Amino acid sequence: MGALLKTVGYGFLLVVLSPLIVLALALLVIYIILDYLILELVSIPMFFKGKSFKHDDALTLKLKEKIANAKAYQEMKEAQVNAYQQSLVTPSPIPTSTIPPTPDSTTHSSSPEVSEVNAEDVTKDLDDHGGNNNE
Amino acid sequence: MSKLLTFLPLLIELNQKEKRAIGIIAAIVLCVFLLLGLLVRLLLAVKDRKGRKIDEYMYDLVQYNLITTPVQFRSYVFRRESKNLYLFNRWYIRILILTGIGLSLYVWLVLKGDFSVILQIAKEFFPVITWPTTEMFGIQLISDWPQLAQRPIIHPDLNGFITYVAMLVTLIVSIKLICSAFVYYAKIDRSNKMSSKAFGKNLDNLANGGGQHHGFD
Repeated sequence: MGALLKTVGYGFLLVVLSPLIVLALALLVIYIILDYLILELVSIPMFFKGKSFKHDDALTLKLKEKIANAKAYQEMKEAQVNAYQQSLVTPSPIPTSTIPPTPDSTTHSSSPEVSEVNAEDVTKDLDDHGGNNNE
Repeated sequence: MSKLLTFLPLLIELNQKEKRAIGIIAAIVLCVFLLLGLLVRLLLAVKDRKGRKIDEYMYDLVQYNLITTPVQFRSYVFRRESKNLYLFNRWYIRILILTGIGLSLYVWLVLKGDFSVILQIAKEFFPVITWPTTEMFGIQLISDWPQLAQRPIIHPDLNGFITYVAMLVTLIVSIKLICSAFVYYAKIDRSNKMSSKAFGKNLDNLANGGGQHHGFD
């Protein structure tokens, strides 16, 4: 019943707003014609340069290249972070009790807080040195 | 409105036949609204489907952070769709312009600039329909089925042929342009909605356990 009333309401709205809808469509059609005229004028010099909008796929190719680069960069970053975290989690074959404590041993701790910080460091390094493809 | 209020007591004193007539009219009006409502629902579904076409090329751009702000999102969709509009409609508009030029040349060279001949042929192509009306409560209301006042007159000569071809071309191009305008509006509307949705900080994502993400629904 609610859906039926909603449909009737849509019909009523269409009747009430039909002049505005017709006006909006007419303006859009005028916009299409203006768009055509402007791009047609722009395409005239392009024609003499041996180019056209249809064959001007430089932007598309550049964009595809950018997407591929961004994808590869993201995959590489994830793989490196995963590998680094994996190396932190994997137990050492030498018992830790036999290794004498060193002053900087806390940096190799496998506590979750420190490993997260280290993973972030790796990500930061990649950002610094891996080349930013977001331009 | 004042006329209606004047005749309001009459509504109470209507006999059974008049009440039944008013009931039938109300049912017909309701059916018309229902049909129009179904048409609107269909158009909204088509708009939604056509709008989703932008997802095909915007998804990767958003996913890999090549587009990072709502302004960039809207601007890219606008530029791309404007170019698409030109590419899809250029030959229709060119044919329309060529038809107009051809018709003008014909009128100028053969009919000595007398455009009224062409206009008369075009006018007579359409039937003239009159709606019988009657006055009820001070308002003119349609009281019967429409009557054919004048049948379409076909002109089987060169003038008629040229006019009909020009009319047909105009009709086809107009339908094509209106459809393109609708599709363009659907895409721009979706880009406006999704630009804020894809980059906005939405707490629903956190509540659902998905965290902050860029994407389309």
